[in-house]
Amino acid sequence: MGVLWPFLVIGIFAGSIYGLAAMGVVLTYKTAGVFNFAYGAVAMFCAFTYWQLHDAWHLTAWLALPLLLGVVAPLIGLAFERLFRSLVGTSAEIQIVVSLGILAVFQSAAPILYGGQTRSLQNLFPLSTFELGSRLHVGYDQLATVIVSLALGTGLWLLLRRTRFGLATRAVVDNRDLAAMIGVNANAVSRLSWVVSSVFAALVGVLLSPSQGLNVYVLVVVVIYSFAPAVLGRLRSLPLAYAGALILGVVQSVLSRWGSSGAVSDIEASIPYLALFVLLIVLGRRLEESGSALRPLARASATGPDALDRSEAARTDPRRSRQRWRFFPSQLGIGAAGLLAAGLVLPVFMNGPHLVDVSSGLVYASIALTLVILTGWAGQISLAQFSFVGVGAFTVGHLAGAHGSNFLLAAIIGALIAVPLGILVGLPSLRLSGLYLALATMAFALLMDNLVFVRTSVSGGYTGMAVARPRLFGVSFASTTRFYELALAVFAVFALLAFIARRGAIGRRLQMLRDSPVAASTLGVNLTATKLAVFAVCGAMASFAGALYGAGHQTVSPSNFAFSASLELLLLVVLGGRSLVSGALIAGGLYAVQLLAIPASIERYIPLTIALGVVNMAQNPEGTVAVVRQQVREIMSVLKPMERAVERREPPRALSRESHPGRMPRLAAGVGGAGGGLGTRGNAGS
Amino acid sequence: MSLGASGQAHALEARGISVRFGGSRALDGVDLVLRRGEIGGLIGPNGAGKTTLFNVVTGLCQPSSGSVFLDGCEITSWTPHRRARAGMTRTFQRLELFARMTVQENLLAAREASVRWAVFGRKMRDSQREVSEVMEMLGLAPLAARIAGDLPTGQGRLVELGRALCSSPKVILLDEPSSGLDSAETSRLGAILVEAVANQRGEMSALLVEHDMSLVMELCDSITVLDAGKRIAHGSPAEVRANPAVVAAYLGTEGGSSPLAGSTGMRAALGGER
Repeated sequence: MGVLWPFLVIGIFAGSIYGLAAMGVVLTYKTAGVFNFAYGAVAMFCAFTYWQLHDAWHLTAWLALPLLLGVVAPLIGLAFERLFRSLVGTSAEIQIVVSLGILAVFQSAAPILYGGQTRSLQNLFPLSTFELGSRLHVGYDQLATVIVSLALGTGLWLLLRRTRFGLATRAVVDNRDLAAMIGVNANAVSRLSWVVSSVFAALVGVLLSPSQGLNVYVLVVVVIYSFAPAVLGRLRSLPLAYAGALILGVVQSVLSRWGSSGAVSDIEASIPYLALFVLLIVLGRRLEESGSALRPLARASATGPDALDRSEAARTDPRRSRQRWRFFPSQLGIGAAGLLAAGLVLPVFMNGPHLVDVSSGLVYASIALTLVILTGWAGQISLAQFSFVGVGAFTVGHLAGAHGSNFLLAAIIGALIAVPLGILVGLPSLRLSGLYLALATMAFALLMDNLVFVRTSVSGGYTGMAVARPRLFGVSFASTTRFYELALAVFAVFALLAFIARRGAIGRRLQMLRDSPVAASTLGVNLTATKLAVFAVCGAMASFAGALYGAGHQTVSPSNFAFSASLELLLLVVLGGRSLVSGALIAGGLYAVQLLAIPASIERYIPLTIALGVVNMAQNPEGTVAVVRQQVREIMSVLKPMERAVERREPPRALSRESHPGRMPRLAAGVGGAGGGLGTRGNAGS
Repeated sequence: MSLGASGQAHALEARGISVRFGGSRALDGVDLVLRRGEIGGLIGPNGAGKTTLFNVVTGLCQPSSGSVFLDGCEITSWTPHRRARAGMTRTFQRLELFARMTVQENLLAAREASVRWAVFGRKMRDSQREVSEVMEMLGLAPLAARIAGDLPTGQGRLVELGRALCSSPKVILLDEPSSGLDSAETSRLGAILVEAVANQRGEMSALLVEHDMSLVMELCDSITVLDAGKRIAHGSPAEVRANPAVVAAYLGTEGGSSPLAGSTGMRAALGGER
């Protein structure tokens, strides 16, 4: 046991910092109803800022630290508060995507501002050690960190428990409008909690960076560790979150005693994600209930003002309703045929590396389509879709052979392997939705990264694995043009299948799941089977597309399929239009634009632009295509001939009710007066 | 409480239903009977347990004791979707529309969820005809292409009713169909319901929870009255109206000191029932 003491000390040290992060995450969820996925990015950004102040501009710590904690971090907090206040009333899904977008903004802005290389940050506290007991050395920095975190945690807890601020917080959480009515300044309350949370993040960054190294990725990942303790506290309880963080730190540290590489170290890195996944499933419904106070807000989105505007165009026009019945509307057919023709002609004008990039974009669009189906139609948010792409790519890498002669078989096997994995990711969706489902799928993706894809036998390790271009039915698709045509064909087939499904019963079944699971179940939909099926099918499709992804890149390594790839996919799909097939195509196009050779001076701004676009999506949750379509429709409605307007005024047809005279007379009077009047009174009751 | 006049099992029957939420009893040994082809009413002061009873009957909530029968077949442990496939469907007090689908898609989706293989060939055409008929009957045809989430409450309630009718139900449960409607809209809804039930000639029954007493008295063939989780009366509208216990329960709400005095607390406990 004596050998374990040093690891215990390190564990408590690490756990204290996780604890700060967990409390910061819980605080804003408690008070503003926002789970801040960008928390790690704030920590990272603040640590970089501290490096700039302290190491690059040589300010003393006495000046740099107050500047960071007193000015920079609070400003970031206030910016968050402002942004998320405008999102009150949107669905959980939008809030998740926006906070993931902010994460991407920070990740792409930090290298532009502070340079891309990994920095080393000096320790805030002296590194000398003192002896505890006989042989145990404890660093002053460790002791100081533990004390600071404990003091801040206790202070925050007392603030929420014993002061008017705490009372006001609870009032705002309970009912924002009501709290405002009895004189609580709801905005001030959430502003203060965002500021505190963001200061905690800055501390986390400054305290963790000396031991973890300061770059764009590490802190973001390490802060994700703290999500598990935050969920343990049900995103409500600070003491539970803190205790969970300490336990997590100690368990991880003690495990590291048995090895810093190999299987033990993989498990050590996976423990927080495993804990997160298991906790979410075990706590399940209870989490959803504790979050229910925030749910009524989400309802408003369906009937928001812009939704009303949109429907104005479609209002009570019988010709439109007939059009809906048609299987494949003509404009859509023409548009799709035009795109396909343009795609077929493209190789004439474009060749070499550019065509390779466009092919990648098409493969990416196929992958994006699976997320459109899963998230946009079925309403099941997933942050793990690229894990399935990885499954497909590595399966093909192993089985397709050097010349790709077994490619098709290998791709199908890859898709079949993805089915049970899809069901596994689908399991949390049986009990969770929205935020918690996003967290569970994120945990799954990180587990795949840390337990499966790191294995050299699976993925060829960090040097990666070669994937042959396919050879199908005796035809080789090795050349750039041939592979491009294959990618185009696969996307066309995926898109056609998706269109057919969307317009038919399958599409309706999926949307029932998204819009009202409860109503769906009381109408006869088996929720369990439907959810698992959609996760499995989308996983299999992504894996199949992953085979092409591998063949397109020719060499794949685990980093291609890391959690961040799934994140980028979600952002691009949301930006394109998460519930439209054309949205997937736009996502693919945006991906290709990133690859296309662009002057390096501009290139690094592209991810930032995309991320900012996503954050801006708060205003237009349906994506680019919907915005464009809305503009076109507005222009068209101005150009419309006059008589349409007259036609609209016709009253709806009256109800025929002569068939049952025996029963009707009692009510006839009331009915007679109501003809066509039902529901003309606006939205008052909803 | 005997079998129906024809000797067949009742369309819907619940026996001795009890539900506890924490320490409080939301329902305490409640019986409920709905005969074939009738419109039944379920009334009671706020917090009496009406919606809880609906949730038990449709399977959204498991009773701690008691049994539910559909057409004489015990369904107490069935999942909601299995009950729906067996012919039971419901509407919701707070609208649960498929908000981003059109009205027509709402109805079609309901039809497809309840009829096996409704997706192919003849059955698909049948589905589309059935949906068109229901929309025609409810006066929803002009709204077919509207997005359901954009509709005002009154039309939304009609869509929910239409959705329920499209799933060709044997028993249809309506949770406060008139809430949020004005009196003209309410009577129109009542007329539609009467017509729909009559159209099915005894193959369909309806049970409604309702606060609008005049609507209940007009529409219903029989009425069950709940108070504080117990059934205090059952019978024809005339019988119920004359029942002193019912009068006491309703007048008691205004008087303050009554058997209902405890019901506010219970109502708070039931806050999470939906």
